[in-house]
Amino acid sequence: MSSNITYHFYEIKINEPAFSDFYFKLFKKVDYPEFREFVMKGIKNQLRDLVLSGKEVGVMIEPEVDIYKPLKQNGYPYSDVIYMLRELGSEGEKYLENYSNNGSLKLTPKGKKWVMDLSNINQTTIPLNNLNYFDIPEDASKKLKCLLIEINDLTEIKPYANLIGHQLRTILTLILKRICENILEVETPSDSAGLRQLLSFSIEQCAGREKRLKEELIELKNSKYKDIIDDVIHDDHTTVNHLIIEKMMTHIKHILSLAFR
Amino acid sequence: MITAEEKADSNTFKVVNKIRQFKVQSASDHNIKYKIGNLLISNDEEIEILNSLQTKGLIEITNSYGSDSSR
Repeated sequence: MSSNITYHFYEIKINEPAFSDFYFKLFKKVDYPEFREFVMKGIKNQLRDLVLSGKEVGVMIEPEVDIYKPLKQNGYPYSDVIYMLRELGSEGEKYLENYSNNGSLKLTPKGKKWVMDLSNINQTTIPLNNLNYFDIPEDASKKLKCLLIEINDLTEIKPYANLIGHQLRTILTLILKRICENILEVETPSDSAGLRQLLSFSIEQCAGREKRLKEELIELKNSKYKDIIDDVIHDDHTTVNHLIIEKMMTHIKHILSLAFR
Repeated sequence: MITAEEKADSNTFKVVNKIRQFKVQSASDHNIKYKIGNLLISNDEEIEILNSLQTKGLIEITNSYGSDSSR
């Protein structure tokens, strides 16, 4: 028995942007649900990159620069990205605050959970206990409370070590500012000086008057947790060791209790 | 019941999707090597679709080759 097998290879040059325009129009026509999921996933990944790069924390997202332009460069259909981002705004899923056509955006806590895939954890049928690790000081700022509650709401540390590490840096900055302003009553260095400088400055200012606080801060500085986290937090392929995160959380819990005593 | 137009769109999408996958996997942004087959449509139809994409100005076929073998 014999059969003829024919192999055909074509070398093709793709003409852009015409090819991508055609591709997405057809994709939308033949399988809209799949197309929608594809674009939504692109938006979600872009938002996640912004969160992990620190762009989102305390900073407004500029849709044109931070979302539309990079997605367009990656070949996503521009008008559909705009349309679907609107669905995530105040009229839709409420994942984004301050949504308007030209305005800056900010992820809501709900949006942040969605972006980091934490919402599915909450929907699981298996009852999971939240960490509830930090005591929330009553007179903490709204932002600090929000960041602490977000960690408390997690069910475990290990899968979210990078996210927690990232968040701990912001929490530590806010606590140190509180210590400087309310306990040490000194003006804090400018934000541009960075967390390491703020930590060193706080230790110097504690000298002679806040012994326990100074010891805790020195221990944190010498532990190098912050540096370890800095090194890996923005690397897509590396996960912060959860044991390091747990130790850093313990330190920050102690410092928090001293800052809001 | 699937219409003839839906069927044609579906087959065209299979081809453009495959081109896009090759593009993503390729080191070059715009030049790819496309192998006919494995799309559950006939080879003739697949080639016809490639030619129609070229007519529309979406791609340029810069070379084609193949081999026939008997066993």
